[in-house]
Amino acid sequence: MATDVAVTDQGHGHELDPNLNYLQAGRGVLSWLVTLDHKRIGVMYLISVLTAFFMGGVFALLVRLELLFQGRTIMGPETYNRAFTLHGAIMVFLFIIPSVPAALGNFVLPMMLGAKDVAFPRLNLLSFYIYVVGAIFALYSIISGGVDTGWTFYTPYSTGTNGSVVSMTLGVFILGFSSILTGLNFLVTMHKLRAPGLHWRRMPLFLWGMYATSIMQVLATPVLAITLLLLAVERTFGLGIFDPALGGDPVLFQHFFWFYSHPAVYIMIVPGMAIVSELFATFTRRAIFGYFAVAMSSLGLALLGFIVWGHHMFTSGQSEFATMAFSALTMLVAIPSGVKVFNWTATLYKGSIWLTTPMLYALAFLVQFTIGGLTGLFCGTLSVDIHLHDTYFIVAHFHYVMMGGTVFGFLGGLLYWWPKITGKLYDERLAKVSWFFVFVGFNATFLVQFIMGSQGMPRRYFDYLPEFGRYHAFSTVGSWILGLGFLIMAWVLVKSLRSGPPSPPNPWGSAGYEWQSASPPIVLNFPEVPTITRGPYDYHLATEEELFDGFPEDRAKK
Amino acid sequence: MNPTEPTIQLPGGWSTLSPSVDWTYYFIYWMSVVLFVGIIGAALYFVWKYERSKHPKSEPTGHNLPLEVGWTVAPVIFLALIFHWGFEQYVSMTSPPADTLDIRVRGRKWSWDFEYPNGGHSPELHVPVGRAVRLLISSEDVLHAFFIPVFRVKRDAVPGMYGTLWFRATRTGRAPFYCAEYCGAAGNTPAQDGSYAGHFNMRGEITIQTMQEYLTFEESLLGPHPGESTADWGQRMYRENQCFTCHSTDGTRMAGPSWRGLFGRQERMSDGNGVTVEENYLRQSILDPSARVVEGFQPVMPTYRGTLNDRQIDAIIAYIRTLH
Amino acid sequence: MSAAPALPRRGAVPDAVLGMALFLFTEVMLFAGLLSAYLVLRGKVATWPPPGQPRLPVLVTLGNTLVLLASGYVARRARREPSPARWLRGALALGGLFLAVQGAEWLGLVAHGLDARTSLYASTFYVLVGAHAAHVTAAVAALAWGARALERGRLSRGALEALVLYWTFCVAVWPPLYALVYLW
Repeated sequence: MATDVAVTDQGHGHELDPNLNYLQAGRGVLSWLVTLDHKRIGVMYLISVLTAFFMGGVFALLVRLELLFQGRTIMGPETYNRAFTLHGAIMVFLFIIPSVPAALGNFVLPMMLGAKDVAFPRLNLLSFYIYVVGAIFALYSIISGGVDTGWTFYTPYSTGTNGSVVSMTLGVFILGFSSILTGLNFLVTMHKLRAPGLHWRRMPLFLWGMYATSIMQVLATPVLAITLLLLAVERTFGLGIFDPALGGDPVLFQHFFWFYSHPAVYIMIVPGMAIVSELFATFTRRAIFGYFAVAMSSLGLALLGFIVWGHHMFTSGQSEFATMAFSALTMLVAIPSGVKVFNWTATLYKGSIWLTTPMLYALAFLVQFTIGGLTGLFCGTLSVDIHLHDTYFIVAHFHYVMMGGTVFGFLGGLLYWWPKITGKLYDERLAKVSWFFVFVGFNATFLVQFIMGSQGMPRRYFDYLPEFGRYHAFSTVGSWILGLGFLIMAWVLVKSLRSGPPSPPNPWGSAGYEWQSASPPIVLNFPEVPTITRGPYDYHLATEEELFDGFPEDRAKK
Repeated sequence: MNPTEPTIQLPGGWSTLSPSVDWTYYFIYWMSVVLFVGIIGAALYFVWKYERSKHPKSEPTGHNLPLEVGWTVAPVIFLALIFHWGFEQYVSMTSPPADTLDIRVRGRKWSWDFEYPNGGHSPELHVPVGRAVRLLISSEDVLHAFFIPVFRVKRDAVPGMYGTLWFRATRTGRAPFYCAEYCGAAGNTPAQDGSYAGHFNMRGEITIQTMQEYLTFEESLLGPHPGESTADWGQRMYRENQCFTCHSTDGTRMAGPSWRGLFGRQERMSDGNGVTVEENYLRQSILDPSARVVEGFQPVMPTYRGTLNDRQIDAIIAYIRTLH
Repeated sequence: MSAAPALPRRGAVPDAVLGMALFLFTEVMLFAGLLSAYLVLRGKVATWPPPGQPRLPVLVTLGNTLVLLASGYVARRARREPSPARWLRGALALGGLFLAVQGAEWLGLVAHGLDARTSLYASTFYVLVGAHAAHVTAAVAALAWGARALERGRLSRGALEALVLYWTFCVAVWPPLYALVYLW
């Protein structure tokens, strides 16, 4: 046991004063690049995923701009195909999947546990560098000609087309390893490093979400790994696993791809839900209604995530029995999703609701995830999905879940933990303005796409029939509002870094464990090992003033 | 069963199956509207009522088992219902009646070819109203999907596999069909008429007509139109088979050699031999395109064996001869 | 590190072993995926192996399987022996022998015309057995590193357990692969 502890402590710098805040302990770029501190690794991830988000966003705006008018607007069809492929691949693999777990989760998870770090700090740094290497492969493929397969890499198109498909698939393959190692690290950390008194029933819901996510990362990602590896081998050496000319099966690729990518959808949305649970608790000043049900619904989604992949393939020619089974199982997804939505709504009841910007993001999440979830019913119903499959309805549906859900949750979480991460407050008023534009812009962009899709507009189209013109124009204008919102948001963050007032330890008056530390936290997170004697949402144990100054029972322990 | 008019959400429903699909669609839609208004209405009301200036101290309500069990179980009834309808309709979509009129649909980058029961080919899809039509769909290269919104049907075209879909149209008229599975594009350079080729252009219009009109159309596929010269017929073949995607007629270099001045020209092949372009070379280039490829071009052309018959090939050669 | 006393860690299982056990779930999914692809593709063909393809060396590989199993046994013994490094080296040698025989077998098959580019039979063989070989290669390298670290007294108990666990997986996954690819 003693050796384990020594390993954990290395790289937090024996030479450094562990009571310094983590930003000041160790200076210079090198002290960041070789850090084993989960908080610094989290910040490095954060910078990386925000960069990826910016790139993916630029591609999205270009795609929308091209669709503003019929015919060619700013680019030719081949460029357009590359643009939407890169938008999808970057957003999914470089931004959304690592956004909450690797960036925010790395920072917050050990602090919520009352731990000094994750179980394997070196492995944590290694996953970051694996992420960087994967990102370099992906960037290389963009520079060396791009990829035009769509983020789904369907064979046989992907084995025959020009462009840097191999470097992109290898990049995604490598990124998968980073994701697996992060998940594994988190699971061991949650099992082994909980502070005394932090039993499972006291785990913050964010951690339950991370737990479910990590299970999916560990179990689903290897299947993507072999799928992409087989694709790369098929392209490079001419093997025929997916090639019908050699007896291979292109539909098998789809099965494999979705066996990963459907859980991946939940790897993306469950962390968003996890953040929103924290936001609802903090800003309603009460425990989440039905804590246990919300925690278990995350695990339920993780489980269901593995057995519904075939609903992406209702028109592909899989057997009718499989189609029926996948449709029935898909319906079940509505149950844990519904449980979450109902419980969040009930949490507002008799709360004391503080409408901060993070809370506005959480409420927007509630609205948009409800739309995303309900439209999922259309897609899960066989006969209706036959009509809607591969149309803009699907595009709108998954953007409502991925962007309206996960990205809104991520942004809410980013602002919520921003004072903890940076030690600085941000301009709440300007942040609310940016929220307004993001909210209006997002809905303007995507709500209209449901109508386009149900009217029959297929996705991934460079051009369209005249009757869809007004919808496309509306959607493109919406994307500009959205872009403007993000610009303001970026300004809010930059302004906070440059001239934001210093943040008190607990600016939101949250009862969460991670807030019972300095802002920014010290290197070892807490001056001494915390002993947990209350739940993370026990707001009834303190007055509003005590929430900001420290819980009576937390102070009594000192 | 009567055809339905288009609404803001759905295009007109023109098949015997579409009314029931639309019914399920609207059932889910109205159920969603009620749920959405209920949930978000309650949330907004709570936000307004319990905003912290009005309600400074929260009152935790713990949990309420009957309520939680209720909202976990109640949706199951609706879910079972819509699953059942969806599956039932899916089964009728995938079970064509015995006496269908069968049309072969072949997808290739980036056009569809329809082969009618009499062996005639056309890039146009015509079907008779009131008769069950079965499409037997396959692909010659990558994945495509055949999608007819007004019939609410869609099926992937998978290389090495047949997919089927069927419908019985309930009215005459014209309506769009699309390729719904992404299949790439021909590059960033437009064809001579300014159009681009790609996934987004792998679409057209289905013509639903009376049986009499349909039979006339089917018959016409086997030869030139009345009064049409052989060269004009060849020009129509050029258009209908979308040869213009790769071959210009004005000398512009595209993916394949331009047809202007092609006949009688000396060409160097990629194996170094020289060839004078004449009937036999053209015929071979149409049926077995990669056998002898002109130097500087890639062997990317698909074969038209089985797509074009001898008379049609003669017509195309006659057309090429007119392009000096 | 007196300023911040170490956190007590929960449970009796060392972190490294728990981490490795979770990683093995990843590995199991990987091989399960490959095997299911193999079964699906094979299920589509009437005769397997297809006529005209070279037969796989069943007997030699059976012997090689025994070598690998022996290596697994030796590695597991290392956990209980007073000089674990020597036992690890033994396991390492047997693992190396397994790889060498596999390599020779591959060269022979390539020479006999088992070409991955022309037949699905060959593709699936090379992919499945190759994936296993890649894992064994990595594990053998890890064993070599572990034996060295042990000799220098720099390998914790937990790390040794984790290493042996990984090698056990590489050994245990082989017999089912052998049965499905060579025997069936």
